[in-house]
This record gives sequence, C-alpha cells and structure tokens, in this order.
Amino acid sequence: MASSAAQLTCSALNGDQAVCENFGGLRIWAPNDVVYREGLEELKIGIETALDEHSSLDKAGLLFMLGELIGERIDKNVVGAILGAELRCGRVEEVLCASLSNKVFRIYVGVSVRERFHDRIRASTELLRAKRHIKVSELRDLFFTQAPGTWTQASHLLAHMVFHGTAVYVDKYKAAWPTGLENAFR
Amino acid sequence: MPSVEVLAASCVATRSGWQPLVALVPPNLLVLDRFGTLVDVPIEVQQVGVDTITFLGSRAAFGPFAPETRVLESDGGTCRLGALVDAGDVRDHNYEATISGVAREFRNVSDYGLWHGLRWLACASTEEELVVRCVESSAPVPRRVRSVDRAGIRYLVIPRATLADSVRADWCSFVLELGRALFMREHDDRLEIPAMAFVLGLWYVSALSATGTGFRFAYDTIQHSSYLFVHHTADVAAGGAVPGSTAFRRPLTEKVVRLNWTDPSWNPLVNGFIVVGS
Repeated sequence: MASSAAQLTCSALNGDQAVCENFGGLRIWAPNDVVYREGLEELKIGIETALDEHSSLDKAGLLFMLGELIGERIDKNVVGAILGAELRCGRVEEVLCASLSNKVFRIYVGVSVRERFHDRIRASTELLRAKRHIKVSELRDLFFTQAPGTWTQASHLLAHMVFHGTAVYVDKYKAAWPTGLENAFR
Repeated sequence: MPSVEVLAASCVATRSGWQPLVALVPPNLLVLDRFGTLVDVPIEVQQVGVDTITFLGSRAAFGPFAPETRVLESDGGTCRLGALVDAGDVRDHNYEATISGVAREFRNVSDYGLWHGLRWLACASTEEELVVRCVESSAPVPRRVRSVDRAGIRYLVIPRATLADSVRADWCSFVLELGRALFMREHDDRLEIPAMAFVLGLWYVSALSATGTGFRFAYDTIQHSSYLFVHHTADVAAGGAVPGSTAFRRPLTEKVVRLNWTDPSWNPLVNGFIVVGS
C-alpha cells in the first residue's frame, strides 16, 4: 500500500471522495480527505526532517531525501507545491547561489539550522579573505563530517559567497577572494 | 489617532523619494488625503518591538511589512498581511497602483534610501564607498562609477559622494543607469533585484514612470519570491486595481514601528501600497 504522500498528485482525480487544494496556482489532489491530510503532514515533516539533518539542500537533494525518508518516490510537482507553502509561511529559507557558469540556483535551509548556515558563511568569508584561495574540501573538513552529501553542502557555502560577490570561482572545486576589491576603496 | 504597524525597513513615499522609515527624523510622508491627492504631512513614528518580515507584491508594488499591517484593497476593504499569507489566496485581493503618480511628487531627492538598499547588497563597504556585484557585465557603467572585473564578474564601486551628487543632479537618469548596470539580465530582458533590496526596485520604477516608460513587477512564484523582477512596458499605468501576485513570510525578524497621524482620512503609502490606520 502506497504511503499517503506518494498518493498525492497534481493530476486531476476522479471519484466521489477525491479532494484537491490550491497551492499557489498548483492543485494537489488526493483520493480522499484522510489521504490528503496524512500525505500533507508526511511531506511537511519530511521536508523539516531533511532540512534539519542537512546544512542545505537543493531541490534535487530534497526530493532524494524525501524519497529516502518516506520510502517511495514522491511527485516532484507535489513536493514543489508543499515546499512553496513552507517558504510562504517562513519555515524554510531559500538562499541564492551562483554556479560556475554564473547561473543562479537556489538552495533551501531549514529554520532550525539557518543561524548555523549563516555563521558558516561568515566564517568561510573570513577564511577566504585570509587565505585568498579555498577548496570546497577544506570547508567540508572544517564544518562537516565525511558523510555522503557533505561536499555538496560545503559547495553551497562557496556558491552563495560567489553570488554575494565575496568569492570568485577558480574551478568547480576551488574559489578565490576577488583581489583588488580592497584596492577599489581609495 | 489612527495608527498602523509597519517595519522599520519598510519604505515610505516622501518628497525626497522612497526612504526606509529608519531614515526619517523627523518624518514627513506623502499620504493620500480624502480626495485621493498626495499631500506631505508629519507623521509620528514609534518603535514597538520586532516581528516577522512579511512581503506583499503585486504587478505595481512590492515590499516588506509587519504581519499586523493592514493594506487597503481596491474595493475599499482591508486585509491584515499575516492572515493573507496564512490563507494563501493573495490573487483574490486587488490593490491600487500608486507608484507612477508618486514619482511626480519627488522634489529634494535624497540618496539615503538608495544607499540603504545598496548597503544590503554590498559585498564590501565603508561609510564612504561600497562594492556591489553586477548580475552581468554587459550593461554600461554609470558615469562617475568605477567598475572592477574579476573572473568574468563585474563589480561596481560606488562612492557615497558620487551617489549623492548624481541623485541631486538628475536622479532619474542616474537611477536608471545604475539599475541597468547592476541588475539587467539581457537574455530575459528584465532586471533581477534580490527581494531584500526592494527599495532599489521602487526607485527604479519611479524613475521609469517619471520618464514616461511603464513597468511590471514579477516574482518567482505566488507563494514565495527571492527576487523582484522588473519588466519594461510601453504604457505607463495611470493607476487602477491590480491583483496581488505574491505574499509570504521570511524566517527573519525586523524592528516594527507604529505610524501615528492625526487626520483619519489620510492613508500613507508604504512600499507602493496604501496602508490603513485603525
């Protein structure tokens, strides 16, 4: 029997008991009210748990973690709608990052770890200012264990610094302090 | 005495342009009077605590409020923003567009609101200068502003004195040049302004309106937006009702201030929306 979360869908359902709710223009359907309420709760708790256990996750990482936690594949549009509701209510923070090709991407930080995330950004910025170059693996060793996924979380710290302008990419694995900015001040 | 709670970071329309409330000492605001005319009046500002930052956006206005802020709807009703976010039905509410009319009332324009917004974005700053990373490096750099290119990224070095002089000389031209240089994404033909730097968006579209160009704000989603996108349009909207586009809380708190005023028929303009006293 599929979990309630896995039964939620963005495709219209037939049936007398089918229910739907609007999430920012996207309708989530469930076969009945009980499945709807249980599924919603499972996903909210799943998102909260996944973000509590990680410094940050991108959407693909969050989908993977939800799949692991719930034990089934969840419709990515449903996850997007519920994540949107969590963002709307201020229970999750979206953080902007820059990729190596200067494309913006977004990561998600849970409220319970938000302060720690921003402390790490401040510490990483100071470290980069002092060292001039820093590798993602150095940040991983400094802030995280060797568990799977921690390199990606460390790379998010650098990606946010690049977005903000306090770092520039050397390559995918390394960033540099944007030298010359201090000299910009006359 | 009517009063309304807003954030200290909320921006109000004044004769000197869009200014965050923290900057106003003593505060004179542009309010709509009983005839719908903008008038410059003194308002008392009182600090009352802290609360969650709550954003409201439409095609014509955007900015942060307190959850208790009440905004006037175009049918004469009001909505409390905290309740609006909880209900998640922002598109069912309509608001008056005001910004195009406000820019005409700017007289002795001050750089404080712009400096305040730029400081939020700056990757390095002193009291005299700041450095801001540009979205792209293709737009022309405004006169008297220096650029530094590093690893394909452009930074603008903006001295406070240059900002003040340029705004005093011709605020419209300078704000338009600066906005394009910092935020223009050529491929999408729009400006991408981080939501917390919303004040720069208010200044930019006011300058557009003052020079006869229209604008439209857009957002990531109805439920949340990290950006305020600005699109240029051919027509300048004279006003009228526009539906809400986004309403959400951010997991951050900010100082709340209470605006008190004397005449019950006045309605202050905050972040381009008309707020209502109680």
